[in-house]
Amino acid sequence: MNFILNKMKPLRTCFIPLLLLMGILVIGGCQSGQKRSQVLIEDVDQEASDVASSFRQVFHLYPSPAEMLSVIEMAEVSYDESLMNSTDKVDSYLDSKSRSTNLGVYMADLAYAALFGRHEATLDLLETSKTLAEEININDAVDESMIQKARENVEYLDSLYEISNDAFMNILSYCERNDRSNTVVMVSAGAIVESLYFAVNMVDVYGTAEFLMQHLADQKYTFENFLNFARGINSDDPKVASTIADLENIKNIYDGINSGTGGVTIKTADDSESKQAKKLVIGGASESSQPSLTEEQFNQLKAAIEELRNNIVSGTL
Amino acid sequence: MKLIRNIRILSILVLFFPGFLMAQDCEQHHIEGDCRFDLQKGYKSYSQSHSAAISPKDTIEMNVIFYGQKDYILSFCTHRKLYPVHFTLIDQQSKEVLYDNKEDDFLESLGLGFDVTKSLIIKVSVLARKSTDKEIEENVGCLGFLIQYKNYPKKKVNLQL
Repeated sequence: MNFILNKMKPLRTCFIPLLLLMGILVIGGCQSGQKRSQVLIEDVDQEASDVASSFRQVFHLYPSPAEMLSVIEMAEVSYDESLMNSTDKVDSYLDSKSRSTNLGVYMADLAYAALFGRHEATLDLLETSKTLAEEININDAVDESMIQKARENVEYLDSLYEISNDAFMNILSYCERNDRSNTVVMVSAGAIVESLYFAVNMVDVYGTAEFLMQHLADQKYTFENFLNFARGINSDDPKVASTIADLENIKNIYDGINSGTGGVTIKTADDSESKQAKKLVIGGASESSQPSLTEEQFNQLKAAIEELRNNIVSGTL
Repeated sequence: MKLIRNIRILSILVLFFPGFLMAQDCEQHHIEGDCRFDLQKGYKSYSQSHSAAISPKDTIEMNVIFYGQKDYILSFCTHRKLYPVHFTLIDQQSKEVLYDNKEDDFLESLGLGFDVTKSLIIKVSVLARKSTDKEIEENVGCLGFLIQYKNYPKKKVNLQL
């Protein structure tokens, strides 16, 4: 018996760690499965015929502030520092909601500064975002390495843009990984409101800057997707409900605008330089197919966005 | 010897537990999976790129906003046992199906130019043609959806600022 045990020992010594390893991996797998349902925005229409395994998952996605603002670069408007929230205010945000929403505001400011290649402002905003991220315990989302990377790439416009985009995406994915969907809602709300604030303040008079007017009307889609996402998260945090309520005025204005007749034109493009086997080009069916804002709606939208944005940055929400 | 034996045992475990390797975190699959082979110079990664766990019985719908005056590349990638990937592009407003990759033998990467901003529903499933019925029942893998974009070549925009 002793002999058998001794002979077994080497196998046992390698088997036990292996079983432990397997156990850890299987548990990890289970956690991954759990996470799946947590990161899901919605699990809907579970098939009645196969309740155990068939899902229809719906994800409502929305662009980053850098992407929302990238049209500003195209429109060649001038940089206006006064539109950004002062970084001096960072210490005045004392509760988690104002810290999270203002982190979103600073993320949009960061994107704005980066798009215009403002090195100092970009670095300052990254430092401010890092401070706020630490205060809401998402320290790793914006870290020193990101700031160092920005310092080393201040001369490159594209790099600054990418750093600002990465910072926002890091925050969202860090929060998702750590079951902080409530924080994602608050940060994104601040970022979207600040991005809209930039856009409405670049249109001095209704009827001018057609491209920006269309961009503002098109944000109806961004707003809808974001609200669908926010309503879909499984959170009992009252700050999520109050953030959604804060956006109600803007939502009502977007709900009332002309959504356009819809419809598209599709043609196959001949792009011999592309690696893709096929390329399609999608256009609007007509001028009236796109959403549009009347002068009254534009003025209402501008007022609602400015009011909410000013409440966010003053920390009074 | 011990190392060889450990490897042998691990191999057995992997063989007997096909779901073992697939039970992984999918969050970065659009970056770390096969989609990365589609990365193209001059394009930026779009923040609405996404990954999720999928089984051959699931359908994933992603509501994505595509800004106008930009070129995009959509790439789909998954575990080798779960190919081909079937996707359709649906206009969110009219619910009209704009494209179905079935008509192109389930191609995995598509170029798209948007003259105007559109919100699309991208409906995805995996057909798992290389899987047995048992594997289809059991396996859950990752689906990666990578979107890259670049601006249309600059043209004069009619602005009166």
